[in-house]
Amino acid sequence: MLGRRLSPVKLATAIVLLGVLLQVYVLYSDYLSPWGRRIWDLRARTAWERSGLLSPWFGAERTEFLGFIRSETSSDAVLIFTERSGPYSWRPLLQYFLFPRTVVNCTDANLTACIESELGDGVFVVHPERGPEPEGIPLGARFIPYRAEDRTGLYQLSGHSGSEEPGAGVP
Amino acid sequence: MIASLLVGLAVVVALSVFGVQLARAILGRSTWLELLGLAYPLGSGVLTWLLFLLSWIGLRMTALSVAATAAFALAGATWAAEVRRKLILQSASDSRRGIREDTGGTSARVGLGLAFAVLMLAALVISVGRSYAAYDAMAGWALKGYGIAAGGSVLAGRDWGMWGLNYPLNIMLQVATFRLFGGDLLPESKLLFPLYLASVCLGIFLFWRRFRVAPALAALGLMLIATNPVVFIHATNGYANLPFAAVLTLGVLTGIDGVASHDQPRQFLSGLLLGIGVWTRPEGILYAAPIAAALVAIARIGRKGKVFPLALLSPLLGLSIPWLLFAGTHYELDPVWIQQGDTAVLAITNLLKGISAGGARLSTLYLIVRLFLERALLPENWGAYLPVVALLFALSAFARRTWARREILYLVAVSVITIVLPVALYLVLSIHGLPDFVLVLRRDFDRAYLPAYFMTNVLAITLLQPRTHDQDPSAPRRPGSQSGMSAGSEEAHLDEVGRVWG
Repeated sequence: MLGRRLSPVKLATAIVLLGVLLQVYVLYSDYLSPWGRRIWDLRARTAWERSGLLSPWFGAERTEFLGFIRSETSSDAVLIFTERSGPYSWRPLLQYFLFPRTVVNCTDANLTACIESELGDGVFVVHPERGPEPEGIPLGARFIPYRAEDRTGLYQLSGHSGSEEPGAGVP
Repeated sequence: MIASLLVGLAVVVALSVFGVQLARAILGRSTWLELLGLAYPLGSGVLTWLLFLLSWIGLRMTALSVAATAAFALAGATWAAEVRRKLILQSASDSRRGIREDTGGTSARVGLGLAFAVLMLAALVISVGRSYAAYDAMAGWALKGYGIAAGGSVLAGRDWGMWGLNYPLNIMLQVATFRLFGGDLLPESKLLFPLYLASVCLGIFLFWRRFRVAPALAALGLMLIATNPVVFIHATNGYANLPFAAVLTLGVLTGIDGVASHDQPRQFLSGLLLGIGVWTRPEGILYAAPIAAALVAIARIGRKGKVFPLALLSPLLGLSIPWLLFAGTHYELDPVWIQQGDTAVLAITNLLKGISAGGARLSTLYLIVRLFLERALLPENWGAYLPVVALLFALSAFARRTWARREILYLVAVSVITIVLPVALYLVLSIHGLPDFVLVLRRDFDRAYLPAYFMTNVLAITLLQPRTHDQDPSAPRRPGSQSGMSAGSEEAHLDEVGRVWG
């Protein structure tokens, strides 16, 4: 039996107090302190940059590339991504980072047809990561390099571009 | 930066003032602390629902139209609150006295206020500071709000982010409102998430005090809830689960209080909050319907209080039906969205199919419970939740007349509902044979459990009342009473609660 001095309420209060102390310690050491430091380090960054830098999928390099896209394209641009996997294939996230630009995932087998259907002056094919350049880039598309050595960057399509020779005309 | 913050704070204040006036119009008289707890969830929920209806019938959403809607709504609520105030006779218990009695002594008030304020300030800073950096927050809640703001219509939300128009738009329209007024450059819309935590903590604290939980235990219980790692993280990560759990919990507690004290306006407010829950998450109706049914059934069959079904159900149905009609009209099930996390809608869509197919295997039930227990026992996830709640339940066996009290049966019923529902939803989800079901479970079950987390904490601490008034000298008293409430005057206490708070 619980004695008169040690009532259930007093005992419960002590248990809850211990629980609070444990949680304050865990919260401070696991969350408040590390997140506080990260946020302080990024205090001068814009909201979308902090999203990229603090998200587990983008990090500094990809956030920097997204910044490049934002700076090189107008807000009404159409951006075509051809990646089949990874963060650059996740349309909803790309829409968030590149808002209000239109994001098109062109991952069909027939990339040429997909790209042609979006032809226009404000349309860009995005080549975000090193590797073979996207197929079906129309003749006369202008290449805007991000990192020349990796051949990453943007291909700006033109409404008058021919597309007979994918990749031809690209510098 | 400063300008964006000021615009964001102005939006918060405007929505909160609307919520205060709504609560005053419904309740008549209340305490400022209770109004503060209800202000933001109530004001934002009702305003976004009005914006949704207006947009659905074709009104373009712009900063001007949103401001005009808010101004009309605020004027209407203020007028109704004044009319209501004049209808109520003044009693000896003014609101300030009620608060003093309800929060314990001066040191408890100051200590609680400071600790809680610091914690909420930290949540606000981290929430805004980390921006939208979690998947659903970016690809769902924020983006769709931006899309609606840019397109000037709720229908524009379909083209942006995940889920099409399957998910309720409460949070998205709040984000859209912040975007329309200040551009959401900070993003100031992330102020809204910690506000729900603050609101539900205040609501739970006041419920405890209303039902005679000792001040120190109630204050520490509040801090226990607010400092839980999972809860705190969800107050800062931009997901809708915490706002949903908060609104649902506020609705439940207001409802129990209303039924126990035979208070019709309070039951109306409960229905309104449950309706806002339906308007916040797709599984909302699955929670609100059985909870409302449980309140009515226990009051009627168990003769525990008095329920006014029309008062309780009319706002719940009034808010739910238009949304459910809209969702039914625009419903889509896209495999890509499911892959990207639209699991709630998938589970709900196939609920009947899962039940008719005989449900999922018992081994899956074991898996769900085992994984949750594993996570719950690690302090970095659920803090001290499981051990503390288990010990409090054990201690309640020594408390006086614990299980005979009328509020307990309601709390038990709602706790069971909130525990069973997420388990049932994940059981149904398991029949789809998602290749990464265990991963989904580890990642998502915690947030689905948030309503149960609040309710089990509320139950565990409500079970532990002081034995006599002497152990709780600050418990609410009858107006004019010098000696306070006697140990055996529970009925009288509830009647008094109804009057002071009604």
